[in-house]
Amino acid sequence: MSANTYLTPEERAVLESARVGIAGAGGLGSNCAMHLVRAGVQHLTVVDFDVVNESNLNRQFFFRDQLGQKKVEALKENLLRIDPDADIRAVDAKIDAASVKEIFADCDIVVEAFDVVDAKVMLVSSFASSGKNLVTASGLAGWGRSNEMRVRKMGNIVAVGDGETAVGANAAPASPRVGIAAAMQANSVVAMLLRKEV
Amino acid sequence: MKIKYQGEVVDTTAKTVAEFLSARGVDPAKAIVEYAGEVYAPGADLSALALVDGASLDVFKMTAGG
Repeated sequence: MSANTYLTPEERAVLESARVGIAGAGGLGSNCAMHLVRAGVQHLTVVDFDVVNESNLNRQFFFRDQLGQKKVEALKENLLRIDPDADIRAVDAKIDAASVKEIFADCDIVVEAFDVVDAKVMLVSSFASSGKNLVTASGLAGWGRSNEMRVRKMGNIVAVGDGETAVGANAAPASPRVGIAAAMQANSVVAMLLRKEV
Repeated sequence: MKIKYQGEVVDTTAKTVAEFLSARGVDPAKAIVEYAGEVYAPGADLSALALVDGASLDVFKMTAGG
């Protein structure tokens, strides 16, 4: 039984039968996964190679007592606290162009949740002509400018964020704006699964 | 010629999508481009993609952060 008691039986069936892939378990991926499980998605494939560290706690869905744990394992623990019946496939791996399609082969939708531009480009390029639905995010650094965050549908790609602001010396990654982007990604995934407007 | 760029009508003398984006400092290797209803992945060769009066061009830049 999913964590969402507000679903109709039809919506529940759709969300509980889908599998969503999440590439990266950082600020975008961990929060997007949290929203998806709360929304009623029960099958996730989450892929990341990193461990939880101190600098992650300003925005990522982890806790201080999880420092040093593999992100995918820590995230799985946290998601199962929301929905003990969720099926979380935690893959401790670094995704590359050679493995990306196989890792997410059985996923209905893939969420790009990397922080490095080259990795984002690799994932989008891998799926751009595949027909598989992909939700990517860029332009989420800094503070304020919430109204600049938007969702664009570009073929099989949904692009979330302001599409401009990069993390750098003058724009740190912080919970509010990263969280908005992650929530918009999750919202787009749920809308696509339920065949609603993104 | 006039095209619609990011939803706004703009004047341009550029002949191709690549030329237009270069003039605006957009690196096509790190952007998703939608032109005239077709989506182009980052790194796609846009140099032979001719701009046509009245066409729509939308760009989503991929930037660091997550």
